[in-house]
Amino acid sequence: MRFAWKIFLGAILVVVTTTLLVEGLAARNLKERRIAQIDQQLLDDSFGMALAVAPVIEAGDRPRLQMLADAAAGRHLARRITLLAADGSVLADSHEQVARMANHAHRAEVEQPGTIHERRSSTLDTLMRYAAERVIGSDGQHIGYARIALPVRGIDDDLASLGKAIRTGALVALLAGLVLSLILARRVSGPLGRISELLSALGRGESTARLPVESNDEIGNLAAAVNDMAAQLQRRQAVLLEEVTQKEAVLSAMEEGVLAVDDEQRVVLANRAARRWLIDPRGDPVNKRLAEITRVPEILAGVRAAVRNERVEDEFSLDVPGLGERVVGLSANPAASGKGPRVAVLVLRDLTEIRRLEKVRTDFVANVSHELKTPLTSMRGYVEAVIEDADMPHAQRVRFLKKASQNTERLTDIVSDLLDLARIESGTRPVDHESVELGALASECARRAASDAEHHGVEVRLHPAEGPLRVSGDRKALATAIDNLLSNAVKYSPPGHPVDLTLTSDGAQHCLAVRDEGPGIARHEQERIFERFYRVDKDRSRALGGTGLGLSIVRNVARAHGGEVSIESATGAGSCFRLRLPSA
Amino acid sequence: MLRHLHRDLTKLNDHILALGGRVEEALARASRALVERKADLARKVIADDAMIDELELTIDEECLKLLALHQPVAGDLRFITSAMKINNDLERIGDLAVNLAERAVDLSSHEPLNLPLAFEDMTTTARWMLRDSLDALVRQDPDLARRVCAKDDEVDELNRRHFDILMDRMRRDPEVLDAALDYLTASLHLERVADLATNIAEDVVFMVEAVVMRHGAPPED
Repeated sequence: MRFAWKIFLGAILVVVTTTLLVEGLAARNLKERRIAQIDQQLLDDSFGMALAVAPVIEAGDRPRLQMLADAAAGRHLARRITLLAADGSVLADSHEQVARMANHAHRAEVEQPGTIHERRSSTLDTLMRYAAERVIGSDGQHIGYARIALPVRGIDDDLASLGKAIRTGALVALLAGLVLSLILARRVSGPLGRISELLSALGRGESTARLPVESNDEIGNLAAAVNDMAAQLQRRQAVLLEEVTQKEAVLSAMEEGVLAVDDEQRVVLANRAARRWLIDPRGDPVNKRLAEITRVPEILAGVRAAVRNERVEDEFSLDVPGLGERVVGLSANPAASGKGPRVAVLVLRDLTEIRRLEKVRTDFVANVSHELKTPLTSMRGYVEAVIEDADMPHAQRVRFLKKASQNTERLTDIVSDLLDLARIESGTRPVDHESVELGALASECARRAASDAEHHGVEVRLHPAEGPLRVSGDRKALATAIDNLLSNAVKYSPPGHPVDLTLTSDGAQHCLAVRDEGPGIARHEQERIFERFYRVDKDRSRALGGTGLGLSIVRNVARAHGGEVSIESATGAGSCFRLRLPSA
Repeated sequence: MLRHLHRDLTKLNDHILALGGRVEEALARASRALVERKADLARKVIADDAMIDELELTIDEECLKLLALHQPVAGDLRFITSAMKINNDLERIGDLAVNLAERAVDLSSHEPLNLPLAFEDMTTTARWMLRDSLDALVRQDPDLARRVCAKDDEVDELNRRHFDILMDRMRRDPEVLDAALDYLTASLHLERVADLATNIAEDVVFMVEAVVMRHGAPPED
């Protein structure tokens, strides 16, 4: 119910109750006083009358009695006067004919003179109060009664008019109350309504509005206090929001995945990087059960341990859709949040690249030692043999020294390849920018490879592009790259199978493809073959006389020119290397 | 009582998924051991199988306890019976991963055969099927489950191709008989893995579609 109505109803209640109470009390009071007045008058008058009529009754002058009675009744016959003989018979009456009146000896007022009695007069049919007094003769003898009656009617009329006045007053008071309560209600409930609107808007975190402070009373103070509170609330909320946003930004910018799980195995937090490792990377993992978002045994075990307040470091590989096989490092730590339950915090790190580089480095060191040692060992063997055997036949000595010399050459090859690689990689040798026509370069390389190919029983087929393919770069480095691709293809091609060198261009990029029909390379080895000294089939490769650096050099040359080299191959289905370079 | 049942069902679900994770890992390792000829990885798979067997027994016991204690009906009953079947299938896949690992150990001691065998594709597809069937179980996604079933043909086809290539090679060159037989068995194992993954996917479809039916049909519980 509206506030105004409550005030108004209250006012009505108060006015009506007061009116009724006042009216009742006033009426009672008035009536009592009027009746007391009447009674006093009745007693006074009956006494006077008794004195006045005593000689007349003694004289037995009836007409005079009647005259007296009539005169005493007054002009408007407001009083009724009855004169009785001692035996109760009516001698005179102001309102009735005596002959028609019964004996009054047994009327209550007559039997008990000097007292007041009230009853309905049968002759006049109105409520009357009666009083009678004995009439005493001159010799002290009881000779009759003087009875006077007054109607009570006048009192009721007075009461009615008083009640009307009071009710009119009450009505006026009610109207005034209505107006007042409306004004009051408007002054109170208007601001209160606005305050409650603002508060609920604040609760929803929406409003930035403030209340007008209109008065200096309690309501004004309340409005001011609410304004204050709203301002502080919003300030604090802004600070909190800022903090949360900042933390969220920090978390989502982290490359490490962060996953927090409570002791009921529900996910509390998962940052963007963590979501990558989950079953459904698009859905919101928060509040889901851990088993619903991941089945990786190491993660499940890590959470179990951390919830038991243990720390766990682990590493596992994970097949991530779209990313392939990744090595993930996990560290699970317990975190107690105040009095709350313990939370397991998991940090997931993508270690794929680190582990790969570590492997490349260790492999490289192992390989480079091996590659350098092999020719050295054989050189030492031959040279020592020559030194120790002074009687060695000349032909054998020459053969031994030739072998040693070949191995020196091989060492030189490896070292110069390594130096080339280091130079390209470190960028100390800037790529010379000259305009190179790939078609001409490719046919030059193909010619160079032809003799070797013929020796292997392999044919190198050149498929040139339609127009000239110009790139900007280092002619010598590009030639080395193409030579390396061709010599690999020739080396691994079975005799009788062709090697195709194809040039194409899509305008922005030129592509040089070298395809062979050799044994092919398994997919898991395809990325590794570009590493230094990596060999798919170690013995075979060395037997074919490679330094193990060829493809590594090709890739470095491609990158130095802003291009890339890629491989497409399958076991038993040949390989195709594509060298892509931006056109000039 | 009902709350206990649901808590136990959630736990059962978690355990099934944990078992799934272990089996996935075993299959992934066995696959890598086979393709990359890594005997040590294969031996790890063989050693870890005991954990899978143990988890399978635990889940089986849990299922029986749930059935006996709560006498579930309708959807819950369907969930438990499906869980028992999936549990069984997962354990079988775990065993097949061990068999595959044993072949890998054997093969790593032989010379590689230069044949266009697609074990990399085959293991990848089989692993994806297992992964997707379990994802479908997690997400209660019958569409994903149906896609798993559709992939089964791919693996069957690869298996047929392997059979042809290997038989041809064995006829021509009986010296490689051991290695070729190893490959042939491995191919058969992978084909079985795909079949079991399909079974799991089918169970998921049954589970989910029945749940959907429960909402439309007259109340059963």
